[in-house]
Amino acid sequence: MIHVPIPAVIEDVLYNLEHWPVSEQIGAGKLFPTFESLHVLAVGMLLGSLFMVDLRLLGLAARRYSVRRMSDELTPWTFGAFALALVTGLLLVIVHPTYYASNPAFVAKIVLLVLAGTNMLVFHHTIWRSVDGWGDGAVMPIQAKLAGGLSLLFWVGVIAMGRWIAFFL
Amino acid sequence: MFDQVLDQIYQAGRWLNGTDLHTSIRHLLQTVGWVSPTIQSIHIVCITLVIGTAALLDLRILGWAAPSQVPAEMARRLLPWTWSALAVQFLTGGMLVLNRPIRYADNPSFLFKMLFLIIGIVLTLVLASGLRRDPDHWTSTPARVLTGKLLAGVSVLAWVLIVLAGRWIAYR
Repeated sequence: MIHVPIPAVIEDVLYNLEHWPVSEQIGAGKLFPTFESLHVLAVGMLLGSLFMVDLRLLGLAARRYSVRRMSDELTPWTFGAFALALVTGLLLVIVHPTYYASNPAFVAKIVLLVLAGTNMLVFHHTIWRSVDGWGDGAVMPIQAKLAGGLSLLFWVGVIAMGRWIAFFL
Repeated sequence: MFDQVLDQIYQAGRWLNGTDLHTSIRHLLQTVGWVSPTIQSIHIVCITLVIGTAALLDLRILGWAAPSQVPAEMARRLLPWTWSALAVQFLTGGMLVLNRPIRYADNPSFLFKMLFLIIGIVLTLVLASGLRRDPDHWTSTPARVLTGKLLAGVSVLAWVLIVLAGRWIAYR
């Protein structure tokens, strides 16, 4: 099985994190599956709300709605869900940090998360600035379509890699 | 009566365990390493579609989300995604069940998940049929508002519990 090499300094930090009483507490009882369930729920809300905006940007769904309005109404749900996913995700990771850090699926998941975040940042600082000019139309500018398509791709990748982590045990 | 139902489900699991379909799927999942995680990944991606459509419609009816969207129009636009995603769920979930039928027939989390699934589907159908008959169906009288919100509240809870119970299947 493939494993990602970790520098000794980082491995030491991760080892200490793994033996932190909080981490051991989570790993020992029913807290792990509890946080895991909440993590999946958060992922469901995150992508569920994101899909709609992405598909709207691609011009595949809800074409009669203003993108601006749709984004304003759904983004709080996306960010709320992301916060829950982040907190529960961190609580899961600290149980076996060394294992996750060397797990190719986990590393791929983090890379895809960074790509998804970068895509969103770039989108918001470029074409989104002029959304009032194009946001009500049925046909989206190519940059918006690209951002929506990449977002879908990256996030589906995040989920797939998340599920794949368990298969690198 | 309850015990009998559980026993029937267990018997069904044992019966499935003896079918050729079980043998073929088990063989496929055991010999081709990437099939299992791929099926599971598709299953999770599609639950996000169910949450993003059916649960979002519930949240709209409850008055908690997407205020600018019109419920009747939302139902027309979103529910085809729900039913398509659920069809994929039955297919991918069905393969996982066929892989180890007895494990699922005997698993309380799985049985609860199926119960919540029935509740979620039925309530979504009831809410949608009201909206189809009259776009203002769930807002026309105070009693209807209350009924609609109650149904939507139980429905969104059912979808949430489906996700949570789904993850708990692994922790028998």
